[in-house]
Amino acid sequence: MEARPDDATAPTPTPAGKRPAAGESADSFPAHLRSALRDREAGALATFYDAYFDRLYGYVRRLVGEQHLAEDLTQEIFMHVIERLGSYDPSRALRPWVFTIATNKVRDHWRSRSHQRNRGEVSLELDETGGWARADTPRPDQELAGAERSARIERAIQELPESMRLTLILRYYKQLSFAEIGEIVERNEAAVRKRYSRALEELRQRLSDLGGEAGA
Amino acid sequence: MPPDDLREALDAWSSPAARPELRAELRERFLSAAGGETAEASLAAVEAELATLPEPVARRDFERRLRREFLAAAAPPLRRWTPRVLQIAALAAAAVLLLALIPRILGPWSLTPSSWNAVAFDAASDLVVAGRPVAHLDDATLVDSFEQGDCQLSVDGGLLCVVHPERGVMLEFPAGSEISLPARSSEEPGLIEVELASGGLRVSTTETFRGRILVHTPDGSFELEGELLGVDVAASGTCLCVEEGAARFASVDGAEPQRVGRASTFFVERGVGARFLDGVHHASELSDFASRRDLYL
Repeated sequence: MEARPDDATAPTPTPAGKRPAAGESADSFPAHLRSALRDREAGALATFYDAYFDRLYGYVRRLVGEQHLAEDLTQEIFMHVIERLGSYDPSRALRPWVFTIATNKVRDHWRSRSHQRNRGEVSLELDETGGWARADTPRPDQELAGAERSARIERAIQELPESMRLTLILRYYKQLSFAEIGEIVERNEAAVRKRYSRALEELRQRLSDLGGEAGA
Repeated sequence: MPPDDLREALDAWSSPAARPELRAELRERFLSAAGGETAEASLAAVEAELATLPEPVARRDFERRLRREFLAAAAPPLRRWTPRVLQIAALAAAAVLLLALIPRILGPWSLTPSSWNAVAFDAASDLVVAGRPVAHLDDATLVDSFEQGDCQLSVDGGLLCVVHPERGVMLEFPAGSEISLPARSSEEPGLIEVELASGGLRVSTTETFRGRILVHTPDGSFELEGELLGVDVAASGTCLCVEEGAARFASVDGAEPQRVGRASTFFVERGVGARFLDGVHHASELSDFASRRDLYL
């Protein structure tokens, strides 16, 4: 089980088959860069964007599923980061701060009327990049066993309660520590650990008919 | 009990059968405890499934566009002087607006306080300057009349009021006033000279006033020193009322000039002579005039 990030403090191995995002396993922003970022220095801003774009886009995309919605939210998150830079304390880690903004932005979307209205409806959006579209009907290429399996997993994640989905993705895919996640979702570390386990258990049950390891 | 009997009894006793429910529950718990590692492994298997999902990849054009927008939007905020410039601009605009509105409220002199300006009360259209009706009291012709002199004014109705804030003097002519303004003397630029054939003249000066005010009437000439006084010409004679300040009267017959002090009335009865009257006549008119003066001086 090389993918499981058990220790919150130690660097965690990259999940098998998963493309690691730049600097994902650690907060790559040292103190002087964080201060420069707060002061809106051009170099720090560019470094921040390059380090966090994939992380944030991937996070949002996994949470909301749809490509265009993920793009809209990612854009809103970066613009919100700009607005909040003045209030950022460089003595504190950057990653929880950024993911808190992102999480709140996604939550705002979930609470929005349009989301509530569309909730439960099947998205007609087809994903041109492959995967991570909420397509209930598999595309022809997804009929291949591997793609279909991925689609099932994606759907299972999407069907998780939002709090579990947040915790699962922050922990597993973004490799944040339980303490960091607790800071973001405003729960204590033990509660986050429990929620993560419940999310995995929920997925196990939803994927039980897949066979193989997950259904074991 | 003899030993043989005991042995027989024990042999006859058989172990009671457990309830089937208890048997099943214990079996489940036994197997779960023994398989704790298996349960953990099943969750780990779920994580392994998660690892098979590809990382979502954004469209590169979206990433590049957002990068440009982010870096542009995150440029350092404008320096502090920018809001100050805006504040100064706003204040300047407000000042211009105020200056534009003041004449409508107080009178046109506010824009050009260094010259004579006409302030109208009531019917201004009844004013005639040099035999020509003047439509507006701030007409350049009227102002020129007081600047240059050498003209006649007729206030048929309403009230004519002119003020020179810089010099600190205000003149007011009630309806029925017939006035001639002699040509201004270049030898005495501070001289204000008015020929009052009929009607009245009220004068107010401030401490900054430097000059002389000469009022010629059919009954004699008055040199007004200020500060708040009035001259009224009627068919019976001329009356000088001094509320504040003083004046001197020189009769047309060449008699010794008379000095008229504050809070007094000096009446020149035509064909009879001059005398002081008790109290201040035309006090209410002077009081009204003073209240208007306070708006401009």
